Amino acid sequence: MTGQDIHAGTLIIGNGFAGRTVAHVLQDECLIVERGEKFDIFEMRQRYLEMDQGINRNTRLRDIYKSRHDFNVPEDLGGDSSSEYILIDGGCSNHWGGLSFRLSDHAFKQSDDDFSWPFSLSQLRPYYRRAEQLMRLCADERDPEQRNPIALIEGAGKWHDALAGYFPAAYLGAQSHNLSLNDTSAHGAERQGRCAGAGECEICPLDAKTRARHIPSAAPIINSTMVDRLLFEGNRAVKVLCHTEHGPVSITFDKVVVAAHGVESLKLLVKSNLPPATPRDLLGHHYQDHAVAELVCILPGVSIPFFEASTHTQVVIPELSGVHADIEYTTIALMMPPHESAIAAALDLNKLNQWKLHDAIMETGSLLCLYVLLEAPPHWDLSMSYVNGKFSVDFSNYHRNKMRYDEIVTIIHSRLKALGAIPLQAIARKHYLHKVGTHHLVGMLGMGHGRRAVAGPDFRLKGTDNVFIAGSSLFPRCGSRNPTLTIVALALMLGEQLRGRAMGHSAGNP
Amino acid sequence: MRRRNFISLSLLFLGGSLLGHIATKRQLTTISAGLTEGFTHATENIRLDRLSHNLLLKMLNGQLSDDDRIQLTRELIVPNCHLYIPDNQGRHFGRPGFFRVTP
Repeated sequence: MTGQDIHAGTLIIGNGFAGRTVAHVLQDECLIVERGEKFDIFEMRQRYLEMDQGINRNTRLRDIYKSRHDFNVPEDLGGDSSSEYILIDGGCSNHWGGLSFRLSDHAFKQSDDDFSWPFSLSQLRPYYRRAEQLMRLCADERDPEQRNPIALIEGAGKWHDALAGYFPAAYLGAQSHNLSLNDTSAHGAERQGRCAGAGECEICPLDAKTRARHIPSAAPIINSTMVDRLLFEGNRAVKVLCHTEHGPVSITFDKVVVAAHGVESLKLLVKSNLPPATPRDLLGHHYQDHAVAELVCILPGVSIPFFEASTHTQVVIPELSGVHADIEYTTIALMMPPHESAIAAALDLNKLNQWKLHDAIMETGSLLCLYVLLEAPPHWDLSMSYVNGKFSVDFSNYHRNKMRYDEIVTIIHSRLKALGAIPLQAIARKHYLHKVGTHHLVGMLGMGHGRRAVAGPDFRLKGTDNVFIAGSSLFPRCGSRNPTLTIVALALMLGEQLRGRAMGHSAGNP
Repeated sequence: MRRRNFISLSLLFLGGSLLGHIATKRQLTTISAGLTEGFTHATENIRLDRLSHNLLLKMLNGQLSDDDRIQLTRELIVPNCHLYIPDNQGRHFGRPGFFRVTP
């Protein structure tokens, strides 16, 4: 495979959820080129288990994704970021992903045109519904987003009952699973989605996690081939130049979908001889991610049913979620007992000194650990750049604005008190003060009608005739929700448009 | 002279040890009485085998303080979390079945 020896009608760069889903719609009319090696979860898990157990778990997890190819090295996002990404067949959701939100109404109801979606949430809903089937969602029947799951989460009722006195609207977040149980009972079909529940979803021992490869597609895939740049003739991209372990390769095409992960898509576009009408100066701007605050509260009188569900998920608490100062935040509760310092802080020493040990121990079963996902909104304009082969992220606007999150933490503590819960304010962990990032790298190639958009409403890179963007880098606004489900929904929409048969609505159509 | 001093000091040391022993014995007797009166009943069904002697003595004397919180968590709360997490001992991080629904 050397020289210019391959041609594709539609070339898709990246076999993650975005590229794979576009290929799913296009069927065999396309070719996928993927820089990562093939991913075998069982091999990965074995490698993980054989590592020195004394090494930090996160370090071990990172190490199993190291590529044998020199060109497969993800960028370091810098000390201000806790986000990272992996370069492996199937993309980042092999490691992260699972909790499957739709984006909120707020993310779609923008007053600022610069960061408005080019279609409404209701127009995206049919694609969400299809995406939820493709991702094999299991969901709580109380989920307010009118999900279209394959299965219902078992055990959700125990959580509803336990939290009803404080958070009556709480529900278990939808999760994606690929497992099918060969269960012949009356509920056999509905029980699909049971999680092995190892708490190590990234390297699940039963491969219960939905991965990009579970999206059916007949498209051929070329692995271990990294697209370095596009070559344009006028407004039309005609060729990609690739690195492989056997040397350079070029691929020609009629149209190309760039779905190579936000950071890598940005890099390959910056390296390309883009047409003059493409807004090169906007590439990488308005990067969005999520910051985190970790809070703990006591729910007096409640025995929390830790672990009691058929999947490893989190409890979404609408009562502690909302929008403040145009910053969206979502609070989720962990389904496992809180960390040691939280338990220590909550201990009732008086009871222990009075030998009321049973009472003191049982009270720790009323502790709930909360994670607040805080939006870093697009108007803060965190920006990525790639200049002279050097990648960097400018977080200065983040640090200028992050104190706004203090107000949100105060609001949540106040709400907890108003609801009768006891927040342990002294042990709140304000991770946002130091770093931003939950691996949700969103918005660097935003779409829309606005002046700051890089891609048009038809997913096409501005100024080009045949270059389309897929993935979370498209989001003009993400809010505080995890992006994977929306990535799949958008990729379905793009795929339909590329096939010229959109689903009966005009928004987002070319 | 030296021998006389040595013998005097030795007698003093032995006397002190004896007094200390008597005092400890009295304390233990008091504690023992306390145990029989209520502590055994109060700790019924609670695992104390991980609890250090130091913490146990503080608890018996009602002298646990903020400095003891982390140690109490490790030695008392975690070993007894089966009281509010069913079948806690049957589950370990990284093994299937960590999350499950019980009837």
